[in-house]
Amino acid sequence: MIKLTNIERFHKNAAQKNWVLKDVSLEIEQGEFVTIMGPSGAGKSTLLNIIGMLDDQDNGEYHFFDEEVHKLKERKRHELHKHYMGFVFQAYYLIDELTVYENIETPLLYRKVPKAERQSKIAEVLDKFNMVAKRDLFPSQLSGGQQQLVGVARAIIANPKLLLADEPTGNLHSSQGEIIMDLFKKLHSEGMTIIQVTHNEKYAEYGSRVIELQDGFIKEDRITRQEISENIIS
Amino acid sequence: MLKNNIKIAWRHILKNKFISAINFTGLVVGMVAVLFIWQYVAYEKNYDKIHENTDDVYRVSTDRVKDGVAFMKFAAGAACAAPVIAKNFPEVENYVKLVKSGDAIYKRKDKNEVTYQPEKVYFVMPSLFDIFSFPLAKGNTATCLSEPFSAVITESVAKKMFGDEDPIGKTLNRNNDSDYKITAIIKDAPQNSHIKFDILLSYITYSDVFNSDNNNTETGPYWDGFLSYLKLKSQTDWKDLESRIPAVMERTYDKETSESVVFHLQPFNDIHLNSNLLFETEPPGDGNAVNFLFLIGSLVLIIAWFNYVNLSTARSELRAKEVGVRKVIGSDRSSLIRQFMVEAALMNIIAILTALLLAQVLAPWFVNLIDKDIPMSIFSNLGLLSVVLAVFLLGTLLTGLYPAFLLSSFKPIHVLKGSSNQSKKNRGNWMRKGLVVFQFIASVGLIASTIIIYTQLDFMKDKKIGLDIEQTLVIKRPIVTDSTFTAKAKTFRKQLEKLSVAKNVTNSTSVPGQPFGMTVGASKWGNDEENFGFHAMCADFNYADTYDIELVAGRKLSKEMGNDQNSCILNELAVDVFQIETPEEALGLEINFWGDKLKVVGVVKNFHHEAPKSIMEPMILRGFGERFSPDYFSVKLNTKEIGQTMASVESIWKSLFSQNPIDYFFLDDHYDQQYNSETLFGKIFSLFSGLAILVSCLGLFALIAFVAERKKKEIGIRKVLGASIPSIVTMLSKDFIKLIFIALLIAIPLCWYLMNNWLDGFAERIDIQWWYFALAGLIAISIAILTMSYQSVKAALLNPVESLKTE
Repeated sequence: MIKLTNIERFHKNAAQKNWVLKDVSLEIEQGEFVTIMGPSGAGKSTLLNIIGMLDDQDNGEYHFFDEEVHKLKERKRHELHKHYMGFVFQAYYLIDELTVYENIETPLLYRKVPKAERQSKIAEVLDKFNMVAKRDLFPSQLSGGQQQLVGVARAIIANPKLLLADEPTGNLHSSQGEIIMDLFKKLHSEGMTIIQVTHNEKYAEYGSRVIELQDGFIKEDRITRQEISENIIS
Repeated sequence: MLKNNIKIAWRHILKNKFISAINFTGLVVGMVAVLFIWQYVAYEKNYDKIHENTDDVYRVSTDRVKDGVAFMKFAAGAACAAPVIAKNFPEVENYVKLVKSGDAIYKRKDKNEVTYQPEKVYFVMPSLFDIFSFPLAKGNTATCLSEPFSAVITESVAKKMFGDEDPIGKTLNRNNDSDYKITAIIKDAPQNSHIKFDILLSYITYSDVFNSDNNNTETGPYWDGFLSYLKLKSQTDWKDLESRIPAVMERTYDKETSESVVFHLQPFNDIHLNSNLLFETEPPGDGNAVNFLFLIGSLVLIIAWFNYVNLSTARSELRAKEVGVRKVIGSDRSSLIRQFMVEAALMNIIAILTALLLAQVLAPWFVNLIDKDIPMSIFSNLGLLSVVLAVFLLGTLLTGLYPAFLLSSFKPIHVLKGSSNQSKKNRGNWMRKGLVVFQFIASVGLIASTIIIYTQLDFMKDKKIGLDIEQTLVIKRPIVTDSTFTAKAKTFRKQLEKLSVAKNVTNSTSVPGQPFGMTVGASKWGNDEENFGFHAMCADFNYADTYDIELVAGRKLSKEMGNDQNSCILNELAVDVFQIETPEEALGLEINFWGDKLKVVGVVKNFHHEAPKSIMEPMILRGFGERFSPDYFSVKLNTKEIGQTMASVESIWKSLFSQNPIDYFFLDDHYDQQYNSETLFGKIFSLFSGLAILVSCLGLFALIAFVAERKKKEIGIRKVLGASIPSIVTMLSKDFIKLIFIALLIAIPLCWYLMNNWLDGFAERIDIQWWYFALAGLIAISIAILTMSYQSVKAALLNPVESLKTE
């Protein structure tokens, strides 16, 4: 699904290049649940953003399915992004002026989904996330965990192939965090490809694979214990 | 999606109440200003538009020229103008002449008690109805003015004199001496028409009956007072035609006449705003003033629009997150642009609907302010509806486009990076600074202009006019008179003198604030070749004393000298015109005044018979001859006790002129009325300047609030480090103060240039002083500082613990 080859990203200062990512190559298959870990400044978010097509690499190749992303125009990349990807943020980033229902609806509006279909999809997801009673509330009326649930609902409402999450539990209490991670696990089991960035060792174990970044390099790329045990069982 | 956009826009408006309120107030104020001003401008620009096809209609104005210099310019010019031009140029399809009939009282022949004193009566040719389209109410315009002693009246006169009766065929008696048969009724001309009348009399009465002894009504080059309008064939090059008139005049008369009487054509549609000559039919409009007001009305709205742009872009950081999120969840740039445009459109539409409502409510007040009967019926006027639409569309584009493009350009990666500083990069900063500078240029310019306008008005009013017009009661002569008038006038004067309150009494044919009434081509006696133009009036021996006119040489007209009807007094300008070196040398000069031999007995200092906005003219003040009788009785009072005085004056009047109502005025008020249009201009100008400044300050108030908000953390840190409150206030305000100074630098030359132009329209004008601008700048800066200080002090007083708390 995703193939990165020698991806480099740097900031140029007057005197020198500050490397953010250096020579990162990796492949991710459809259906994987990848966790990117590493200390602050290791380049985790940058890598996620490059995969999510929100940021450009300075060097290297990026293949997404059959598309050569590194050669694509902005517009086409936007199309790919819109079609295949859903995003979840640490700070939720719900639109304050919209209700829960409207926040979840927005991606469908941008994809010109007919009204009847929008309604049934949103009803379904609200039900699935246990948020039916909250549909007409505004984000400020929700707890952090609930807000992030809406964030996840919004990210998946348009049926993306890839879910990208940048520290989705970073602002949450552990109990709320677990709810989100359980949700991710459930989505993964339903076939969703997920890439998340986190600092939390425990939450990393919800996934199938961990990529450790340090100073812009891939330090380690391993299968999680969870995955190993599941593999053994099967 | 549109519904969604509107919903979000509405929620944004509600959520940001402070900003929305400022935007809304500014836009409404600007729009109301524009609705009013543009209607006023439309009224002025649509003058005379009731007539169809006036593109080929021209008025002939007459210049009296001496040595190549036009010393008098008449709107109602020579008797021969139209007939001579029509006869010699086949391009002239038709022409009409109007000549004003003097004040008179009209009575119904069948009901003697019904009398009416109309303001405007003309003798007019039947072709009036071929050239102009005065709408007929009753009768036949083709024949109504072809017979002598026919009269056409307006609907309102018909109503006044005949009520519900049919006036057609009835007879009106004029001043007990002539009878006119009513042949047609015309609808009243709208206010904005420069040819207005109450009664029209057939011109043939004037030319063939009253002046049957001379043929001059059609051939006299030196007989003025005839309004002449030509209808030319379409596509005629009128300038070319105008240039060929002198040759025709020379052929018809002689070289001297063609050089001293020069005709000009004035396109009919230009007359109201661009013509200000002697004997205009209506007070002319001031095209310059209209343009100024248009500009300033529009400025208020533009400033309000700029506020919107400024506040939207200043808020961009707050909206950036939303933009980023929307982009990440699939929005492309165009749908974001659409969303921001919808927001602008919504704000504009709410504002304009409110403005329309407010304009309706305030219309009577505005009409009262400008003292003109403008139809302010907003919804019946298609033109205005299109103005509203234009304001809305233009407003939406202007206020929406820039913020929309700016905001939609944000890259999600930059704005969503949590605590990253990149989102703090202040986009649109230069634009915003530019707009703030513009607003302050406008504000400073307007303040300075207001100061200059009022200084000029005061200057004119305080100007030593060389006359004492205080405490002077002026009584107009009776309208209906007979052969006994001269005797009665003497009696009246004597009785006025006997009043204990009367310090001085004088008769004259004109009083200050009125036109002189006579223009005369006078020459040195025995040297008729050299003919000079003068304004002239007749007055008795007491005139110079009553009005306290300063004598330079010789003596005033005097009772003691006996028969002074053949004496005259010149002003200094007249002495110059006669090319005499000193006033003393002019004494004893004998001049030819319409065939009378007058001896110059005195020279007076120049004085402003008319307001100092017009230039002083050479003048001859002569004693009454047999053919003149007084038009005004002036009484200089030694008391301010008006009631008692008037009662006794009125009783004297009743005993002598019982047929006539008394008509009087106090001269200082009357004289000041000459400044009505300037005073009005000043009033409107300052009002809208005030609005413009108010709206700019609203914007500034909100902008500084943003700066304070954005720098909250910085302020907190500085306070922790020991910064004083004044230093923080300075930090917040100094950028704006800098902008205001830049604005000052640009505003001064601009304003100086425009105001200099305006001042050039006055014969006596002030010079623009540097301190006007210093004062304007000081006022602008003070207002700005006052506006900013509230916000910056508020920010500076904030507890750093509060502002440094992370969210």
